[in-house]
Amino acid sequence: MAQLETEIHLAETSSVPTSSWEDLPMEIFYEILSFLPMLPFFFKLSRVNRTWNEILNYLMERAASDPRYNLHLNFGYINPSKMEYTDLLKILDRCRGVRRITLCNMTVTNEIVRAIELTQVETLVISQCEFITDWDSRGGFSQYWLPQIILNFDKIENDTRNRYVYSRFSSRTKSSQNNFRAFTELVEKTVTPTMKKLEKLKNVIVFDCQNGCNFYIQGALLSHYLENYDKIDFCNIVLGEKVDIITKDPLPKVSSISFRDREPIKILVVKSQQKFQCSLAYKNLGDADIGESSKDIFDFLKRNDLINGYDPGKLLENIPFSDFIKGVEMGLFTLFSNGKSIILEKLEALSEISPRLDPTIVECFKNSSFTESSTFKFVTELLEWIHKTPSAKEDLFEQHKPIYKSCVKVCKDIDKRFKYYQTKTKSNEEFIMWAFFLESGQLIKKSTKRKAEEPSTKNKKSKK
Amino acid sequence: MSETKQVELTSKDKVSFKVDRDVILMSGLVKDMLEEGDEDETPIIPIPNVDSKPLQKVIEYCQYHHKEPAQEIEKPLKGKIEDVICDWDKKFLEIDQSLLIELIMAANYLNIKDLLDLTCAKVASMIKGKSPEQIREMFGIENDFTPEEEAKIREENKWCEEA
Repeated sequence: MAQLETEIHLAETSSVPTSSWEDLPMEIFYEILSFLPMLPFFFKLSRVNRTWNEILNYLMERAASDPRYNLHLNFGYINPSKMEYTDLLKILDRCRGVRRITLCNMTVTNEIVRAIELTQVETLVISQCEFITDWDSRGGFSQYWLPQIILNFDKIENDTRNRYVYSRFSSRTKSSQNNFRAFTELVEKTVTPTMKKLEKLKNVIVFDCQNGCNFYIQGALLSHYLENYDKIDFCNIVLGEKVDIITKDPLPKVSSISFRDREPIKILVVKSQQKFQCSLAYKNLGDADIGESSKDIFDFLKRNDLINGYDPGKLLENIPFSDFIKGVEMGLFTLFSNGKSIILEKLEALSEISPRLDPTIVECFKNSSFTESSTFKFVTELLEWIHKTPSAKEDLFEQHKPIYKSCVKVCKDIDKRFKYYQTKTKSNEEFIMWAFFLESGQLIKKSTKRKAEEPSTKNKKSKK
Repeated sequence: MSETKQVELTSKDKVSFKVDRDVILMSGLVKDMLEEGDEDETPIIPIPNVDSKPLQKVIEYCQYHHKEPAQEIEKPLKGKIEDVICDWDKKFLEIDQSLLIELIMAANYLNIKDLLDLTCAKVASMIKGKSPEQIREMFGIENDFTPEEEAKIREENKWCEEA
C-alpha cells in the first residue's frame, strides 16, 4: 500500500490565537462539565465568575428543556447522610433541569419527594435509602402498607372512588387477569385527571433500600417480564411481554404503571446480596441473580452510575480474596479511605477470632478452626499480595503510616495472645508471627516460644 | 494497487493541508461536505472557522486514530485523564491552553466526537480538585463578582466547600 504523507503548505504569517475560556459556547461548556459529577462541581464552579455562574445556573435549572443536555444529579458523589436536610432540599430545588436523579444514602421524606416533583426527572433511582412518608396521616391503607415512598400522581384524599376501587381489587379481584384489566381501566379513568406532576418520569428504580419491596406508586400496576435483566440499564429498561400479576412464576419482572397519553412508568426493585449478588424483586414475585462474579456486579454498578456512594462493606462480607482483588483493580474497593483501611479492618476481625487473654476462653480456642476461617485466609492472602504489589506496599508503608502503625499494634496483640495461649496450654502447634508477617510479607510459622521470637529479634538487628 | 484519494483542507489563515480522504472522514462536517460535493480528484474544502495550528493538530489526531480507534472516556471521570488515555494521546495533549481551547472549538466545529471528548475531558481533569480561586488563576479568569455577591454564593454553597 502506498504511504501518503500529509502535505502542508504553510502561509508566511501564522495566525495569532485569540481564544479564551470566555469564548466557549454553552454546548462546549456542557461537554466539559459532563466529565464532572454535578455534585459538588456545578456548585463549586458557580463561584468562579459571573459567566460561569450564569451558565451553570442555566444548566441546573433549565437544561432538561433542551434535548442536547442530559444532566444526572447523583447524590452518591457527596455524603448526604452528613449534610443538612435543608441543603439537600435546596440542591433539588436548584437542579430542576436534571433528567436523572440518584438519591443515595439518605432519608427520603415527603419534602424530598415534593422537591423532586419540581424537576423534569425521567429516571429516578433511590439507592440505599430509608423512606419516611406521611402516608398514614393521609388516611391511606396503613393496615396493608408499611411506610413507603408515595409519588404524587393522584390525590387519594379527594378521590374516594380510587380508594374504593383499590380496596376492592385488593380483596376480591386477585383471582383473574380479566378482573385485573378491568381494574386498571377503571383506575386509569380515575387517576389520570388528577395526575399533574412528574410528567416526564419514565423509570423508577429502588436499589438496595431496606424496605425497597414496599415501594409503591399510587395507581395501576402491570407486570412484565424483564428483557436482558443481566444487562439492566436504569435509563433504558426494556419491557418484555405482559404477565399475569397473580402468577407464581419466579422469573424477574418489571412493573409498570400506565396512564393515558403517556408512556408507562417502569418500576424496578433491585436488592444486592452478599457475595457479589444482586437480585431483582418486586413484592414477593421472585428474585433472580444479576450476577455472581465481581465483574458482573461491577459492570452493573458502573453501568448505572452507582459505584460512588455504594457501601463496599456489604460486598466485602465473606467475599473470596480473588473477587476482592478484582474489585480493587476495577476501582470498586480502595485499600485506604477516610483514615481506615480494609487491611486494618480485616486484622481487627482476625484479632477477634484469635485466642483471648482469658484462661477460660483459651481452653476453648482451637488453632485449626482459626486457620480454616475465611478471615484468616483473606488476611494471609491480602498481606502477601500487598508485599508483591509495589503501589499497595508504598501506600501501606509510606502514604498511610498511621494505619500501618495501627496494623502493627493489632498484629502484636494477636502475637501476644498466641504466646499466652502457648504458655497456658503448653502447645507445640505452629503459629504465625503476625507482626513479622505484616512487615516482611513472609508467612513464617513457629512452633516454640523461643523460635517464635527469632524473626522480630532479627528484624530489630537489621533495623539497627 | 489504487492510489489513496486525497482532500485539500484550507484553514482560516489560508494554509492548505492535503490529507487522505479516509483519514479526514472522521470529521462529520467534512464527511457531509464530501457526500454533497462532486467526485473531484482532490476536492478543496475550506475550513473558515479553524486556524492552521489547531487544524494541523486535528489532522495529526485523525491520522493516528483513523488506524487506532480512540477508547471511550468514562463519564464522569474517576481520576486523572492521564490514567485513562493512551500514551499517544497524553503526548498529543501536551499543548498550551490557548491551543487547547482552539482545538476544542475545532473538534466541535468539525464534528469529531472522540477529539472533542478527549480535549473536554482534559479541561475537566484540570478543573478537578481545584478551588474556584485556583481555577481563576489557572485559566486567567477575572473575578467579576462584588465581594457581597461572592459571599452570598459562598454561603449558599457552603456545604460543597466541606464536601
